[in-house]
Amino acid sequence: MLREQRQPFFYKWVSMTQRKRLLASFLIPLSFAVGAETFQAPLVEKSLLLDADTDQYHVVVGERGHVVISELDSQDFTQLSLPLAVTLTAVDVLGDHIWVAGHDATIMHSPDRGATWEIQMNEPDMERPFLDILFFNDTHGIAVGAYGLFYRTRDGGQSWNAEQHATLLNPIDIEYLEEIRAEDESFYLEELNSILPHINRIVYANGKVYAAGETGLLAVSENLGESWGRDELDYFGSFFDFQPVDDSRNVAIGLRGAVYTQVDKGDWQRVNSCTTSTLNSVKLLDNGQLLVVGNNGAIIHIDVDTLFSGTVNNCSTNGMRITQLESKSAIATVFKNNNSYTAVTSDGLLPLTSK
Amino acid sequence: MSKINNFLEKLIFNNRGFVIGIFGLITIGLLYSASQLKLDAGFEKNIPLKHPYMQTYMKHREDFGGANNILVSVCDRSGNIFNTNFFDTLKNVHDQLFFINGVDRSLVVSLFAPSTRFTEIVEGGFAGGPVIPADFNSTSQDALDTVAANIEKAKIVGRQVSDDYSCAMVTAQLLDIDPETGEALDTLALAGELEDQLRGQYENDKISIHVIGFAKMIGDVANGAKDVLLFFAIAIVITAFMVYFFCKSGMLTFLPLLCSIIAVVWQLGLLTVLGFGLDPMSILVPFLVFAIGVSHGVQMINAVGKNVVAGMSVLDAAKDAFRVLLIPGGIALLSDTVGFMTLLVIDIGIIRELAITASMGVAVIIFTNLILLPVLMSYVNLGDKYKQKFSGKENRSNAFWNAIASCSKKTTAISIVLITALLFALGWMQSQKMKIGDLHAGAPALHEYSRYNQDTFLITDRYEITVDYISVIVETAPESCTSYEVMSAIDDFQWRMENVQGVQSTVSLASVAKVVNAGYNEGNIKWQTLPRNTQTLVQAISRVPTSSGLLNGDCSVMPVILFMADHKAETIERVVDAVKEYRTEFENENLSFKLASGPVGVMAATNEAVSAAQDPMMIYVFGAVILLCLLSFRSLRSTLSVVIPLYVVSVLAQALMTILEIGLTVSTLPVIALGVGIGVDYGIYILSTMSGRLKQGASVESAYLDALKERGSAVLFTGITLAVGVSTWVFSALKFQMDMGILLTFMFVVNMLGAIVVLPAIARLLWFNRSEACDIDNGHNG
Repeated sequence: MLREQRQPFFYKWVSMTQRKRLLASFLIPLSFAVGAETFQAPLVEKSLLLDADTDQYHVVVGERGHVVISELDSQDFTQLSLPLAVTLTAVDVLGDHIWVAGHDATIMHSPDRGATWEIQMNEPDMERPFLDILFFNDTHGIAVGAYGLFYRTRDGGQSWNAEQHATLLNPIDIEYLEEIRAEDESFYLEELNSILPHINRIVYANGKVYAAGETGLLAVSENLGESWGRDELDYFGSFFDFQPVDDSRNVAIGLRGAVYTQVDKGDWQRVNSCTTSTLNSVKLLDNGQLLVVGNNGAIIHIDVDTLFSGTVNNCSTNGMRITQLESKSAIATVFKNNNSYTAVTSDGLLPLTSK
Repeated sequence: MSKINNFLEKLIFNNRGFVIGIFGLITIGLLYSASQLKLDAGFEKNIPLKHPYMQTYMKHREDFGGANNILVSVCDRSGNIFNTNFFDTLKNVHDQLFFINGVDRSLVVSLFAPSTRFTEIVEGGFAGGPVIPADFNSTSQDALDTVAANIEKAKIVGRQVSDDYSCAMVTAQLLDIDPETGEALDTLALAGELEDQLRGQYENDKISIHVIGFAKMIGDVANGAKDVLLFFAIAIVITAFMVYFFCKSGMLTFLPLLCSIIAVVWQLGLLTVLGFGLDPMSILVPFLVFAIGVSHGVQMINAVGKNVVAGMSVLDAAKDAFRVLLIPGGIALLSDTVGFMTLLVIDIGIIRELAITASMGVAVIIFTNLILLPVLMSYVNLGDKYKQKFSGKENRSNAFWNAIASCSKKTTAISIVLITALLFALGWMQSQKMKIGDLHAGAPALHEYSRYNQDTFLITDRYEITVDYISVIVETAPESCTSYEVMSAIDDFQWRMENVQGVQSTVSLASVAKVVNAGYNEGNIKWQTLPRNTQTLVQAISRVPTSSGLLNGDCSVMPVILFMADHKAETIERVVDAVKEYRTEFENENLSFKLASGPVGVMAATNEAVSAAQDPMMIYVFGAVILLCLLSFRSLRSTLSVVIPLYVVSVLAQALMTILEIGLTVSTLPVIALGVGIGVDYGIYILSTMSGRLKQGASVESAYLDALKERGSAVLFTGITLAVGVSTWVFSALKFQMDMGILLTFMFVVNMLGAIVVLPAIARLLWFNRSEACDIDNGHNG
């Protein structure tokens, strides 16, 4: 309701796409402080939680506008009050800044470790969720999501501007789009808007931005996501995470146990993971090993050197060790806490111990 | 009054043969109909059907099934279900349950049900099928492995398969109407079939069968209740010995017992005539009737015996006893009857049945023990031998009565009243802790070690499911499950409730739709949310069949099911209060959250009904007692002397209930009323003698001493006899009989003490000026 009061009087007469342009061009400030709206739930740590980030403190986000925060090496999480109770899918922490993003094309920001919040973007009518958010510094960031949803800010989120990256499409779709573009530019834009793949994850490492997404999307950008080069791949399932191991070696994971490796920008190779559980997150551990987690409580420890040592397709000898979380909850991601790992799962925060 | 008495005496004693003949014929007739009596148990009798929660429950029972379900857990004793023998047995149990009469065949669910399916997300979308494929071959290890994988994909571990894979569940809903006969379902027959055809047939050294559900519980209660016959026999024997010890005459022992048994026969016969059966939960009532009959019979033989010893002929003695006891006995029994009838105000079928059964039983005692008994006794030959037995004992007992009569001395009376007041205060404070409802896990009617409760513990331990759930019924406009606003409100409400202490987990169409929506998005939990887009929402909901019990045909009704940690009254109350609080936030003209269905919904309604009935019931019982005392004694002081000890004892009984952790439930609610109804007898008998003397101007002490000499031994004896008989119930196989036994023993003994200790003390204070001096003034010798 508060949100509507803030909208200009003509807001409801303009179409959705026009609104986006309004947002982009007039830079209507959506940010304002709002009182607590999220229900303070005793079971917040057992709710559906979807992402975590750490920078001198841990922040975990999830359904119903749930954001919990804890000191490093502490198990005591406190629920923060947010102005909107939408499902939050991603969090990025930078110093005292916390940005959270999620459904209803929502982005909220706190400049003070979660004490106060502002809504930077909230577009329920768009019917699209953000799936990841990433800040390069405390002013420049991007948020990505479903159907190629891509927004950028250069002022700490005071204004978010839409971008469309047709280069994220696979070659067949690009060919098709170029055909209709020749005939009708507006139909092309409309079609592009619905044909772009979900961008599930963006990762910033070694000055490059990597994207993992739907229909076999693995792409890299040398210029902070302004232009993209999509890797060619003979796979059209979804990727959910991407992890550069070092300057030359990359790992991507995704649907139904998909694990792909790449060396020196060469072709991606499928590695047999011996699981059909969808894999959601891959982390590089301090000891140089990889930790992959996914649905159905899947936990895979990967010995990197064995993984890249050759074309070993036998999962008992390719460096993978599969275990399962006892509760079998879907694990969205993990974070290190007090020398052990905490799983962020569909059933809340759980110690990453397999049965 | 005495005119009527004399008329009745002439009418009856001049036609003794005729009277006996009539009684004989009626008894034979009712004995025949009593032999047709059936044990009769029904689910709906136990619930307050007019309670708003139950109106909601009845309204939607068609769509969502009732609370009357059966859970059969088939367990492999080796701890692993994946073997040929287990799956063959499970299939047999499923089929067997399917064909048991009274089971709703469309709602039999197990691994073998076609509705038990799995879905998994693959690159192209969904893939799925039945958990047990059509070509399943239980002897093939591959087939068993496939089923094991499918079980995991179907996410039914904890519900249809136990967490440790040692058991699998077959569940069924029961019909209310027998489809073969069109009449109400015979729950006890069904319980018998469950025992014989499932456990009897399939439990062996490899497989164990665990059955829970209302029907099984009441079947086990009925089986346990059959022990009552044994207790009945024991009680008759004990009573016979004690009566003989009291009257020293075989014939005088036999007659009151005979008349009391006739009363029971009449009662049971009348029940059948009126079309009732005997519910296992009220099986104690005939026993109670017998006990009350004996207590009045003892008064009768006491009076006759005393008359004979005093030199009257047996016929005259019987006539005199009839004349003297008809009024106090009649008043006492009438107040019992009215007291039990007051239970009719409670809108729970089983309590109403109890009210009818008990009040009818007590009413017939008026005929059998106040009319038939003296008539029969008039034929008995009590020779000199009998008189000799009692001669010389008068003095000894007089010393005893003199000692007791000192209760009505002024100083003693004051201290007794003070002590009573203190006890009352303590009892009152303790009784405020009275809990409503069942206080313990499992079926409260049965002992914790009973097979049924052990099965309950096993199932709640090995599965994530519980039989303790309450459904909040969301009523809204048709097709509302496609409305984001409605679904979102349900989802938010559900989350609020899940956070209430005592709620373990929750499910609704909204929460399932979220999971399905994630499924449509490659199983990505970041999409586990309600889609705003109507088409997408429809797509998600269309995968949830109405057989899931989460929506009705046009999705205008959707339950939110709350699984609870237990069914303790305070837990239920907390959850119900939370529903009432939170729903105001979400309700509008098109959307309401109605309480309640599910087993705990029924309990919530029952608890509320019981709690609401408690005060009116006490008011009516005491109102009836007070009114009858006022009518018969025509004295406020006499009435107070009877009622005050009675009330103190009923408060102490409530205190005892809290100490023994007996909650106020459908089965314990009537105990206080029964106790008051029976307890009043003592006071009425004592005071009927006393008030006559007091009206003549005697002192309280001498009036009381007279009453003791005349009635004291009978009162003392009755209290002890009843208490001994009822206390044998402590050994019952049924917990609720044990509870009732303890409470009734307490009420019988303490009411008796109240009548002979507290009553005279109060009377002494109420007639404060009636000191011993009055006797001298009136020339009365006490």
